[in-house]
Amino acid sequence: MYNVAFQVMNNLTLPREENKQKEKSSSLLARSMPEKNSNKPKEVRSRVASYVSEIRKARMELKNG
Amino acid sequence: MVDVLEPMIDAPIAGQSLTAELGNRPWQQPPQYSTVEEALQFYIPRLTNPELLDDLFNVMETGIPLTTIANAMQSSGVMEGKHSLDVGILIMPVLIETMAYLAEEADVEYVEGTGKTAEDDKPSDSLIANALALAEKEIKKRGEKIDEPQEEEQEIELEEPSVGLMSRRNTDGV
Repeated sequence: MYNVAFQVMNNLTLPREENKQKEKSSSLLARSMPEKNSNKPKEVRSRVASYVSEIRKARMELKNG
Repeated sequence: MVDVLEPMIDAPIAGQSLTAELGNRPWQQPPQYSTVEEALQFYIPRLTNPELLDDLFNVMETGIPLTTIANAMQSSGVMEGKHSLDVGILIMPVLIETMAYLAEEADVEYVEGTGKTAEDDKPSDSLIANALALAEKEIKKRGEKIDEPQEEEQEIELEEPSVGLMSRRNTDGV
């Protein structure tokens, strides 16, 4: 039988850990950078991937002590 | 993996879906939970319910992969009209990961079922039979005969070193 779950798990792309953003300079002549819109609603796939990565992270912590 | 050559014996009979009035089945109604989050709010408390957890661990210990369990869970959810099929497929990774977490926590052995096994790479019997039939046809077409490979035994004769006075010297000077 066709195993959908197998395909779903293998096609899941987990989110990469975001690099820490450089702190903004507060000087007057500092370059104005466009702010990244973090409040943007995520796509369903990426939401699911983030849930999975959170649970996996907790599982790995549990496994590795 | 889908094998097209294998007959689908367990498939529904043609027209089976039309044997009941349209809309009478739960999956023909609007789903109860329309989003991934709503569906997860339905499943996760059930998964973590201590009464059901023992049964789940028993199933895991029998060696049934988590992917199969999650697939069965979401399929029954669709049949009951809890959520749509696409929501069911979307929540499957979360269900699998949650079950894996619970099993790790309770120190229960489980098979995730997401890795490739040696059996997956093995072609099915019908595929082999079909390939053989095709090869036979091709051979007949060409008028070739299958010759069994003959094993040729090669005897390696070692040259005995000559001990005559005029024989060539070895590089070792012996």
